[in-house]
Amino acid sequence: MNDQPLGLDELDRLATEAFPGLVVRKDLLRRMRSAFGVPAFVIEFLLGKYCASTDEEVIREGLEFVRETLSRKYVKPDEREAVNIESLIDGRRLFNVTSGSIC
Amino acid sequence: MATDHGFVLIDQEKLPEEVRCDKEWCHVLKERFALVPASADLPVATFPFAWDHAVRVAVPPGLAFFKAEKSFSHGGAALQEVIIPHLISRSEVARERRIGVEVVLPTHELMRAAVKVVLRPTPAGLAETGQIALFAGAGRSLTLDVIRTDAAGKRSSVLASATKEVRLAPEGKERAVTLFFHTAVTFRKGELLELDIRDAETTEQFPPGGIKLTVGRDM
Repeated sequence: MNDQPLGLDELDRLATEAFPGLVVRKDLLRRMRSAFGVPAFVIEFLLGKYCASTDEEVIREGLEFVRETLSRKYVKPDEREAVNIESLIDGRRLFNVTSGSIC
Repeated sequence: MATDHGFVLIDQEKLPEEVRCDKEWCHVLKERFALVPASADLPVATFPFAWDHAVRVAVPPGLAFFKAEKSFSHGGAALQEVIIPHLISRSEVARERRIGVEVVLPTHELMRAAVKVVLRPTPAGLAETGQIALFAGAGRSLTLDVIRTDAAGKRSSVLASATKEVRLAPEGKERAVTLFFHTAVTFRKGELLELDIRDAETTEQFPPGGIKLTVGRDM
């Protein structure tokens, strides 16, 4: 996957001016999905909150935070049982973001 | 005449009359004082003698004297010599002069769930006196928080992690910090938040009163 940032064209600029804080670069979603395998709406939600900008520095910081959040809070399928046992010991239960059910 | 070390007998023609004091019943008889029995009834002023209550100290009035022995009598005492100052010294940590902090925000309107803050060290004393101190002030450990106040007046942090801590060195460069808000917290457009930056030790706030942030969109 090419990690080079996308250049903004005239339409992108118009969109960001008309909807400040609501436009997110689509390539960011692809990069994060390939790294975490998390449902798209979860990543879109986080990118929309922390990376909705055309400023490269803001996007870089936002991506770092999203990465850290996902690696800390999202349980990968192969880790599910191990974390479930751990959380049972702690008295907590996992919430499945995909199905909305308690694991 | 009282001097710092005794008495000087002034010229004969200027001397008052000698005050007679019977040396037979005086324990001590000197030019300007006599130790007399406490029970003695004298026509001169007497004062208690702290070390022996059986005697009192008699003094002649004004310039008068009990006996004229020599022109200078060494051994007197000035007030400054007989008062022993009682000084109490307590150790106290000196208030350290600390650098000032200038807070710069690229924007006060939030379009994402984060706020970028630039912290610049300024010379110590500049904010208080308008003058730069001779020596560089000590650095500061700053705590940064973004606070929401609900309708009931309850204040709570909206940060994703615990309060952020930043060390600002006196000779250091400015520090840029981005504070990310918690993923579970939602905001309404127009909502006001407070950026609270304080010295971790003194709780001094920068700038005083905090900084108001406006949420620019629903998120």
